[in-house]
Order: sequence, then structure tokens, then C-alpha cells
Amino acid sequence: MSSSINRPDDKLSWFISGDRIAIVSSNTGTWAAIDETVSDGILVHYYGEPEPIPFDQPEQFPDFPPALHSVLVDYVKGKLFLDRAGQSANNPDAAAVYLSLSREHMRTWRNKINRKLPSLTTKIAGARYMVPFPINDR
Amino acid sequence: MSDNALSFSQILQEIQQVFPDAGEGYVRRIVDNIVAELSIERDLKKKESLINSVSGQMLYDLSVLGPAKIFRVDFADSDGNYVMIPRLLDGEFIRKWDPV
Repeated sequence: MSSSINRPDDKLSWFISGDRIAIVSSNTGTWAAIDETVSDGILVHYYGEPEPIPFDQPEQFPDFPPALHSVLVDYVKGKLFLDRAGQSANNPDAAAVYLSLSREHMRTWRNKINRKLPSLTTKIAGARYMVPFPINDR
Repeated sequence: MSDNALSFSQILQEIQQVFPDAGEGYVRRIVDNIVAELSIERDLKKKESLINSVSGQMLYDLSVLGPAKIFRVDFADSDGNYVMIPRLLDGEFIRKWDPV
């Protein structure tokens, strides 16, 4: 069914209650459930998890900003060197080397994420500044 | 896709230069986990989902979305356009809950 509400922004509101979303209407003067049955009536925009890489498509790109794909390599290497350090528990010298290599890769990963990510998540170019209201408007 | 982009198989090749015995499944899980974790933590992946509204029903289940931070909700108007509806910041005063 299609909607009969003319201006939903005047009458409806939403809020989150645990793992559910509430859609309420102020038609009757108090907040209550809506009296509309609409197919695909509610469009929810959210930040969510990306799709994992399909097993049968290794040529696919991770669902991640492309400029950060190279640092994924650092992260994985950091994890694998840590695994290797754990496996070399009977050889403390080798374990120490693997551990320091793991830390180096993790440090590179963190630095690049912290440095690059803020600039990648915005599409606004140039410096950001606020223009104050003129004090003297004459 | 930009020139910087690496497919999963290219990432795996780079890893296997140093760790020839690194298994594809294990590397895939590490990549998927960190990409999912960082996407949620830093709000990288915007998604949309449609829900049917039901007369008399106030609450709608969101567990099918998985981990989700909702930042905007639209409702279909009589012309079929989706119009942004405001978020009610104080839902506490609603006492009488409708059945889900």
C-alpha cells in the first residue's frame, strides 16, 4: 500500500528503543503508533558493516577506502608476526624479533589510519573556518 | 577503483611474500574482521534499509541490520517520495507501548 501522509516531517518522529526503532505520530495530540500500512514506507539510513569478501571472488576489492588498502597489508603482517612470536616461545631471541616486527607493522597501521582516515572521510576541500557575525553592521 | 586499490588476491600475494605458508582463509578472516570493526568505529560504510510500516505498530525490529548506527530516517509521503522525519530525543514519556 502507498502512503496517505502528505507531510511526514510534520507528523511523524522516530527514536531508538534497544534493538528496535519506534515510529510515532502526533496526529492525536499525543505520541502514538502510526495508522498507516505502507510497503517499504520507512527508509532507514545507518552506518553499518561492509560486506565480507566472497570466498569465490578473491579478485574483489575490500569494501574499504582504496587509499587504505595498502595499510591492510601492514595490519595482517602485524598479526602474523605476533602469531609467529607466540609459536617461537621456545626460542626467546626469535620471539623478541618477531614481536618487535609485529609492533612496527602495527605502529605503521595505526599512524596511517589516524593520519589518512580523517582526510578520506570528507569530500570538502580546503581549510575549514568559521566566519563570525559582524559586530558592527553599519 | 583508484590506482591505490588492492584486491584481496593482491593483498594475499603481498602477505605471502613474507609468510609463504599464510592460509587464504585465515588472512581473509583477519581482513574482514578489521574492515568491519573499523567501518563501524569510524562510520565508514553508509547503508540504507527499507521497512514496511504497519498500522498500529510502534516498534520495528532492527536486529536484521547487524551492528548499525542510525543517523537518519525517512518516511514515504503521498507522492511516493521519502521525506526525512525528525528524531524524537525524549521518547521516555510514552507510557503505553503498542505490541510489536
